[in-house]
Amino acid sequence: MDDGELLRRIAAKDLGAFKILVDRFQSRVLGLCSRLLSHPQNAEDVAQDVFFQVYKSSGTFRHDCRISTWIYRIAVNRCRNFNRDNRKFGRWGELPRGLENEDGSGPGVVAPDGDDPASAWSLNETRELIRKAVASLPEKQKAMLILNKFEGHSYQEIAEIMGVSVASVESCLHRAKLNLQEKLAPMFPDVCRGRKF
Amino acid sequence: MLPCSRTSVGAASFDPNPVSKGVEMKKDKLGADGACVFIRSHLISIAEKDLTGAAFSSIQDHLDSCPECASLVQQFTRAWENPAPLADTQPSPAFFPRLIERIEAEEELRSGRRGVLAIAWRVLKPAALAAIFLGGIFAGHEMGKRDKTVPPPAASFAYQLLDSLESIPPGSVADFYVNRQNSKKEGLE
Repeated sequence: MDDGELLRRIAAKDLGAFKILVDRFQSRVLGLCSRLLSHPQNAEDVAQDVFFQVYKSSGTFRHDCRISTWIYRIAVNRCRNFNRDNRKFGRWGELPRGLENEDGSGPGVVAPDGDDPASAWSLNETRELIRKAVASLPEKQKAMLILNKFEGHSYQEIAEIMGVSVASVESCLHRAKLNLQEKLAPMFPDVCRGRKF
Repeated sequence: MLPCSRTSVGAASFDPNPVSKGVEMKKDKLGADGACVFIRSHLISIAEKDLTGAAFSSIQDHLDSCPECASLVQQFTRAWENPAPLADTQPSPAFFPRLIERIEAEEELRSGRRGVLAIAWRVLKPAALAAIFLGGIFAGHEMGKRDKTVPPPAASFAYQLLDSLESIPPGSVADFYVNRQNSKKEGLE
């Protein structure tokens, strides 16, 4: 059964069809929410909101884009709203340790200490650094970078999800990568410290 | 030779925007320490092979001579190209049941609201129509009453003036004036 047919059945309050749709998309939506939210432990709650919205709005979907694009759009908007609301109230908006806030405030980057810094950075630590640096990007850049880099969406798909032009996606991704490079540079230790040239 | 340090000179003289313009990395201007700093500040460009051919070959030369930078670039490229799968992206088993509970609660609330409104409308509709009808009758009655209370012509200013003329005391200045005016009109004078 294709997604369009599923949505038509969901609009007719068919919970069986809704379960199929949830099973089909829940891992991807949860993964996207985990990456987009400042605190991934809220991902399941936000994913619930996303599917609840899908169920409620299934009758009003205009079928002018793919169902997956529509669901991703709801997820991105929900996550951005969640981050914004929680930053506003200062409850869960703080950034992971070792990263600066967007306005430059907050703690600086903390690199691990050790006799041999290079060996202290394992692949997983590098991935974690990248994840944290991405999390500290502005919301729009973060969403686009995650959709492109981590979720594998094309520029066209991202443009549809975010409701912007392809050129805007390209420009925003370019800025996101520059920002990310700036944030990542001081996070790596002086791997050549003490080395004689 | 100086050891590599993040405050080393060299990196500042680089184009900070290598992705768009390409990077000119010249070994004669940049020492090995500056090259290390440069590489650390352009890891994404290097991982995505966004650098121009000359810059790329210069970086490659440095990586051949600096195993630490080579290790860092290799590790970063691996991490960048294969981001870690999130540890817990599988929803809990209660995900769908919770969702259904929420949907049912919402629908119950909505149908409840709808039910109360329907009953209220069924009861209130005839009562509202009757109230409008009675209100119309009452308003008409009140308007009819108001017409009867319009002051009679006697109460108007002209009649009040005539009444006051009739009550002029005889022999007063006003009486003399009125008599004189009347005489003029009758042509007695």
